[in-house]
Amino acid sequence: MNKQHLMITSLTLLITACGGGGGGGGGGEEAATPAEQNTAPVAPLTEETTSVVTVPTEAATTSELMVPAGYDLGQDYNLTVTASAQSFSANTAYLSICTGFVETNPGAFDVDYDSCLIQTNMAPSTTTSMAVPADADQVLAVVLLLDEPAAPIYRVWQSTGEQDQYWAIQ
Amino acid sequence: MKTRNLLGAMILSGAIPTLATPFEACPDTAFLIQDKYAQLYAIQLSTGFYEQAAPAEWTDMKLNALAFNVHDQYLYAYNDDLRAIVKIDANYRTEILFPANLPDLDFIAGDIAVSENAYYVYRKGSDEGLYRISLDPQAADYLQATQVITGKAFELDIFDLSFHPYDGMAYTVDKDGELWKINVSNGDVSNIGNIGVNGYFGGTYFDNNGHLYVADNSDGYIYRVDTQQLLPKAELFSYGPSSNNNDGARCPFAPVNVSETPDTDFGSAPDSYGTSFGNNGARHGRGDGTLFLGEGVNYEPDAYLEGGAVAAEENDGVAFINNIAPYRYTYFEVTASAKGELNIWGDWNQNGVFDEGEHVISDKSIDAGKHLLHFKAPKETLLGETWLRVRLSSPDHVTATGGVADGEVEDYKVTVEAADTLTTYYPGAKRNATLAFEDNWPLAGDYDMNDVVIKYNIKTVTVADNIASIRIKGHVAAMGASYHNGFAFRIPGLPTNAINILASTLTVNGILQPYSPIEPERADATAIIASDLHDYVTSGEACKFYRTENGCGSGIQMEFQLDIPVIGTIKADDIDAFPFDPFLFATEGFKRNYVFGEAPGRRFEIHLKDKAPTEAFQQNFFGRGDDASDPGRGEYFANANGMPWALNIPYDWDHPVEYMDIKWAYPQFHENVTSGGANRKGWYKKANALTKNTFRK
Repeated sequence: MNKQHLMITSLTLLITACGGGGGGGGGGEEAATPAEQNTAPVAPLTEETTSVVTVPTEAATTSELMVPAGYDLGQDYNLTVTASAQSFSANTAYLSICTGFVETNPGAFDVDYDSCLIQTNMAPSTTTSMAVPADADQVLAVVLLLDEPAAPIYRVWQSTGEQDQYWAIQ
Repeated sequence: MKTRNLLGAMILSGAIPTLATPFEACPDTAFLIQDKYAQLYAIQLSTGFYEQAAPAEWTDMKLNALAFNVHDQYLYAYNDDLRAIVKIDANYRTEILFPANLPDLDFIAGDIAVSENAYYVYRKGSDEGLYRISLDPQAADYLQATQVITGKAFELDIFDLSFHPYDGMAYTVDKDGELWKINVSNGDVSNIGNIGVNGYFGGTYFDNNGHLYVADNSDGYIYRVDTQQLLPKAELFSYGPSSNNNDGARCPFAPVNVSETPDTDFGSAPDSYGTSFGNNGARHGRGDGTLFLGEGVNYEPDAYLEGGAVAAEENDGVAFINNIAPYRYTYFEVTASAKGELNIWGDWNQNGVFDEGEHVISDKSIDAGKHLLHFKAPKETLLGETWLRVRLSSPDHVTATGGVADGEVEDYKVTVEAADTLTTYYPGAKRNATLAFEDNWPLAGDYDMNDVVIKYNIKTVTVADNIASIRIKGHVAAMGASYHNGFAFRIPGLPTNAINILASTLTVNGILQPYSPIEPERADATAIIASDLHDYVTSGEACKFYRTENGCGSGIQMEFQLDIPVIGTIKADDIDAFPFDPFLFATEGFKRNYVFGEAPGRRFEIHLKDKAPTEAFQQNFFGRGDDASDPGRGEYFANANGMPWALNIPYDWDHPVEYMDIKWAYPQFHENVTSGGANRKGWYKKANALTKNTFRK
């Protein structure tokens, strides 16, 4: 890049800055009228009753939505696991915990390793926590033995629905 | 105007050297300008194959109305900021030319005539129109602009135009698909008919047979139109890059050769491994089309070398399950479409070639389907990043280079790690989470949750129980905002003095930034991804915002990767859970809403609900407008209803279209919130969206 080019660069930035300006909309400071949002609201879903939690009167828009006290709208739960190679009669083993999987046959799983939350060696033992997406009702542990190659060992965790959950894998 | 005229005087005073290197006579490449700071691409129209022509940092100018000049073999473009013509040579050096008498307008369409050395630029509007600028240095009117057609006589939604190679006319297709012919010598404009498709045709090109190629900005589709036909119709020809800022140019005398359609697959490792055709790279012919790794194979005219996004996406045949460590088994899953021979090499000594002794899987016959296999890296394997090459073919005894008639090659960049590594991902090893901001804080927004939308993935590596590194990788997915926002990540619990500030890096669009992203004065490590997201993304020609209005599709304009090496002894439990603390802040010098008397700059922040601001935040901003934060109770960035200005969703989320309340895009959202997260836990998934109310390209 030559000197002249640098000069143009700096002046271009200057002009751009002069031509800029403060924010205008940012999503519309004056309650912008939705273009089509009210044309086809869906009917309320009724697939199951919700008896445990008291549901307030339905909010017409999100600006009227009331959030229960203390709820931060987080969409994850915390899962702490402990595991050791010894509990699988091995000196070295490798643990993957994943949310994407399908049980293709009893005890046999097709695992989406792109969905894994942790991957770690289990020797001598490991304790670790992870944030699990709220929609993951189950997570899968895959244990691979590293002393000698062997078929993977699978374990499934069923979410309790609690914010903090603990799983001793064995 | 004064600034610009002064600039022109300075530049015309002789500082710019005369450009020396014209393009080869009539190249068959099509050129395309994209993005806010112009990126120049070369496209093979026959396949849509494209690659960066000029280096990524070749200019920071905004360019449009790209044109190839058959009279001098240079590219030309129009610069809105300078109101100037930019001449580009074959080495992508630029020269600025200032035309006289050109009105003060942003011209977005243009081309250079074939029958005369003159540049024609167009802008829609009753006071605008089509202008001619002579580029002939010998002509008396050199660089003089004259209006050819008034905007009233010629008012069309067009985004590019191209001159026919032989008939002297300029052609263009408007957004309704109408094909127009323009006689620039007398100003006559005639409608030829509708080509049958509509779109924002920002890139148009001719070939030597009088075929017009028009590329739709929103999806990158390239259509071919035979202008010699009585009623020309569009034919889908290839798939090119999409962007909402496009302008194309090409030598109209060059053929577009369909027989050059690539039918060969290449790898993507650096060329020292033998990757490109010129280096006898590993390559696989199409064969009968049935044998490949993973779900499919892409064919290329030559290797996309390291860094090619297309190549990375193409790698879908192998999933490595555990980390590669010296003298330890590595398990991997390989997916084959049909029976074939599998071979794998690893550059264990990191010398840039696959040596004969680095062949770890040799002629392993596998059937169609997914297979769990393993190999053992040798004891002397070095730690750090290296490359693996995976080849699947019908013939056996293949080597790490050279051509094979069928199958596929995939090259993987992998990290050889110490054995006691723990890697944690959010929200999954190769999955993205989404941050969705309303940026009108402390005033309530419209809850379309798309003012700033960031997709990202976090990876932390822990060695011997101490955090060793943190990587946050992501992109700006949408920006339905005109406010100027910066974006940052803070990692609460990780002291700034426990990280290596100088070794912390930020890469934007593949370019390593020449500064540390870490704010040194913060107690907890805080990394600035961008001081102003508007520096990186633009809404484009026909759209108000970036990727929030339907039909306003664009390629991703800002990708980032933040790498923070940790040097202190920090345990994973010491730092906040994922997603840490991502936040927006106000760009210095740009005003916000009325509750601020002056531009608040870095003192303004928007965090996820109940995440405390940084020390830079001005505490008395709390409680203004609709904000109901109560720092004494640890309550931050929520209104009186408890609603935040930002959501974190552990999912690759489709954001609502502009002005659409999230409720109408995600009907289960309200029930999820009112139940405190107990019900409708999967409200954010695609299956639970009203897709007509979410953004579509």
